[in-house]
Amino acid sequence: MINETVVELSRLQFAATALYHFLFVPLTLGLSFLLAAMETVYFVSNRQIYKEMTRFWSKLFLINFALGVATGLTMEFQFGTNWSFYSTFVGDTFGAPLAIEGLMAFFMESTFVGLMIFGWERLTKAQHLIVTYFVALGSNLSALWILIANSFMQDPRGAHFNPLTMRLELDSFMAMLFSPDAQSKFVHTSIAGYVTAAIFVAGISAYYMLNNRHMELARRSFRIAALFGVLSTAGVITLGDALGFVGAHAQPTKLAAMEALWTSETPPMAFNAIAFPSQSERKNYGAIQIPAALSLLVTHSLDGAVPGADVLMERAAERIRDGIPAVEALKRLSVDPNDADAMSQFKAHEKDLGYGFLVTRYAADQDVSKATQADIEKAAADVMPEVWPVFWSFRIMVGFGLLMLAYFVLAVIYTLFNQVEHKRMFLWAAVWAIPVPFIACETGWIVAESGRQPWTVYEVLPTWMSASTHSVAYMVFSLTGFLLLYSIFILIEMYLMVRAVRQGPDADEPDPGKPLANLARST
Amino acid sequence: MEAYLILKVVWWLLLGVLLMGLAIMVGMDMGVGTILRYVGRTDTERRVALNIVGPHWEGNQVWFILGGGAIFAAWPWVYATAFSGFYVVMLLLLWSMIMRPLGFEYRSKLASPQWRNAWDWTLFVSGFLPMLVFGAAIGNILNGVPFHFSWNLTSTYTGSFINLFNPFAILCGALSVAMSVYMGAVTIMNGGEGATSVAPATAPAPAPAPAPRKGERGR
Repeated sequence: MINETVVELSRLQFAATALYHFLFVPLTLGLSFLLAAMETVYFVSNRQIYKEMTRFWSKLFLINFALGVATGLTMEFQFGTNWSFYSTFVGDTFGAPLAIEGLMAFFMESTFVGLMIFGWERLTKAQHLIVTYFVALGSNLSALWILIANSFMQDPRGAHFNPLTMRLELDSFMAMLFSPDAQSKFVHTSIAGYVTAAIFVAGISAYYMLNNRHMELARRSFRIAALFGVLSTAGVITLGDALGFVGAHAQPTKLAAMEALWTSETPPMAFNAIAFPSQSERKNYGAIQIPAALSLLVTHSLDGAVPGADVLMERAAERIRDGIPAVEALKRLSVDPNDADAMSQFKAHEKDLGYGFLVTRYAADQDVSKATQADIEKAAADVMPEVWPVFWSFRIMVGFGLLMLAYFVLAVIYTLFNQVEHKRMFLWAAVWAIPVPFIACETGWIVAESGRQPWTVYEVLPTWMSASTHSVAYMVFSLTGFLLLYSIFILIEMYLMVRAVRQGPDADEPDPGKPLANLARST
Repeated sequence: MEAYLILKVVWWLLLGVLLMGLAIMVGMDMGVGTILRYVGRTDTERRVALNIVGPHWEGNQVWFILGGGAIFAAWPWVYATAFSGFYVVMLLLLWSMIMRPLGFEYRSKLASPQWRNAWDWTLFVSGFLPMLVFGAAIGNILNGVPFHFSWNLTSTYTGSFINLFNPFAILCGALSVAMSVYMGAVTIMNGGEGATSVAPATAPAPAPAPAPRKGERGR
């Protein structure tokens, strides 16, 4: 029997640790490329200031990188510790890109990051530049494989379920690799990282300019960040639109939640700019609508339509009814794998197996053959994720994205006309904008993952079935542990970050790359 | 089906290589962490010891990640059953492993002795505990662990937390720690000899007396 509290606590723990991990990842993705860009300028122009810039920003990069690596470990462990049924179910498919990530990308990133820190005195200029590029490439490849794995959860392609081994088996690695969701999501997410890094560098540079410190470094860093940022923000918005377009077809329930679309409408459909969705009444309060905008946004045409929650729930109920015999056949096969009758029954209903699983939660004794009409309706209502967090996260993400685009357009204009250090209001805004991309990234994660509910693997495996069979006490213990450790870590990280920024590039601190003789003197 | 049989053998070999890589590469770094506080009397000596593994530990740690990833992809049931069955132990392992990158990266950021002491202890815990857990886990697996599958192959661990600490498993854990400390000590001896003698030669301060170095060798 599955314990609801354990499932909820497992979800909470996953969300908390993933959101925490995702505070550090985007900055790593973007800042590594900014470092590579700065070092390239140093390599080409041979001007010392660019070396100073690279070294200063790499100091901040490493403070962030350490926590990114550390909290990434949690994610790899957690599938096994808290989601063991999920792990056995998707090990053949989801596990593959995850293992490849370790083998190819993380290996590269980790090996070269050591060389990047310690190599300034020991490598030639060209060698060190190559090392920095490898760090950037490695961390971005790492993101690619993780997002391919994630996309398998959103839109499982290239695999089929084997009723005798109880797991998804891989048919086509290429289909998984080139799933449209994976492609657009990788580019959208990694570019979101570039935007984050651009705002981070621009914001800290603005702080220096406001205080008239390290002007050479600040001016140049700001310019590089502004140019990098304007391109990235334009990219992230374009790819976000593409992702929405792909998602409209692959995950209609997520889209309906993002737009708080309770009832299906005839095109052209209006867009809810603001609304206060109520899950229980299945309607919106205080909606402010823009006519025809939704059709244009998600189908790129005026006469395009997407289904609302009502139609989606009706379809789900049908699929649940069709999926129940599949689950029953599966149970018979687990007793006798050679039962030909059960096998043919399974084959006939296999496409709705996931929906059959979905009703398990409500059926008496968690036995689908006892599911009543009311149980089926409850399960069908579940296919809509909790609407308000998805709806509002989406709006915050998009709103901040547009805001950042405006900011970078101004930043580029000011910096190209050498005006930026006189625009004090703008510089203050730049400093205060530092948290904005982080919030945008976090809300983006909520849209993608909260919007995927109630599934861990969309339309194949319900979240409710995926968790390990732990006691509530175990889950409380682990959650408390993470809460404690992670709170201490973030305080230390923020303290070190702020301190490093305050001290600036001239700070003399025992640097691990220094020759040992100097080190002995300075300590 | 034939491909499946070949793969089974190949993955045994691959896992063997991965676990040996983990034991040797990560074991060495963790050994350095474990004895750091005992061979390094002063902050400089500790820094020297850490600098020997400094450029490599991050790359070496990938063996650990890779071991986990490979088991997930190649033997999902082993991954799911072992990770959820050894729940509390796995969490202790994970938490100590999380502290490790921070110990290496953040230790040198502040000069305060309390700060550095705290991180030295972190490096001790994150060197000692994982090696103990790895060894004890292997010991328990050799002994066998109680779990069962439900009709849909959900695995449930039926042993208790205390059962994992049987004498054989503890002995395996101690062996694993001993081997890691041995490798760490050898690494420090080979890498540290030159470094500690360079420092006093160029530093204007009076050279640290040869006594602590003698003590270091004696260990």
